[in-house]
Amino acid sequence: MKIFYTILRIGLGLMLLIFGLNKFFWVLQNFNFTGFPQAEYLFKALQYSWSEATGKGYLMTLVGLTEVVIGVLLVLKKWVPFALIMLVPISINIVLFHAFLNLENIGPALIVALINGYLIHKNWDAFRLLFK
Amino acid sequence: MNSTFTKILRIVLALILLFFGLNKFIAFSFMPIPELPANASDFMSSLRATGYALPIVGILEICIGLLLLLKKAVPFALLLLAPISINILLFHLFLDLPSIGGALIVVLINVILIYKHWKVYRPLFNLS
Repeated sequence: MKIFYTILRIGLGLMLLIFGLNKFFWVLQNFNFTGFPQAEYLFKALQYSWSEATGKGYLMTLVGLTEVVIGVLLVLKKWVPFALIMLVPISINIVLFHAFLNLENIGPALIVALINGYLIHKNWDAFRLLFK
Repeated sequence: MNSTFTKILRIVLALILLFFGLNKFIAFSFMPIPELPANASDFMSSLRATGYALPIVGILEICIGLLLLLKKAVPFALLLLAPISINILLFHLFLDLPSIGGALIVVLINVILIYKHWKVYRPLFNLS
């Protein structure tokens, strides 16, 4: 079970590093939201802070940077509970984005959210004090 | 952790959040609809068009407000607020600088209260 946990932690870390770096270099195939107007509108607004492709928005940089930091922390096994809690808002937002606006491609979002949840469960001792 | 100062900050933050959270559902008539710059207004429209984003922020704000007001799971409530704080701060910093005041107050109180409860967050940086 220990090896299972380690694989999930490093797997999640690598996934976030790829998605995070992709927000700066766009190495992966660009998202295609044709046929999903609200997804397209929101995504453009996030990317450019504007529905037209002009200028550069701050939000994708913020999310990308956060993902890279979380990825590095998870891979290096440093501050893991902190990395996991930092990932929660991102997990929630990618799941909701796909659930409401682009259900077809919800797969990766669900995987990230599930691993996030499972690893938090495994580290629950670190979070217990927050509810005192 | 229990000084009068902390208590006042906690209750003020709770009331601000309850107010803004409820305002997302039952737009108070005395609250003027803010005039946003073009970029900010376009971004807000895209959030409104999703249908889910603003109600969720509203629900979160109300929950956080109630937790803070009732002094239940305060460190959890403060953590739940952190992403909202960061986002309203950046939204105003990049898209609507003239009205950054409210955002700064929320962020500042959020940070002070997290600092006051720092002991509780320490395990997040130790366990692996």
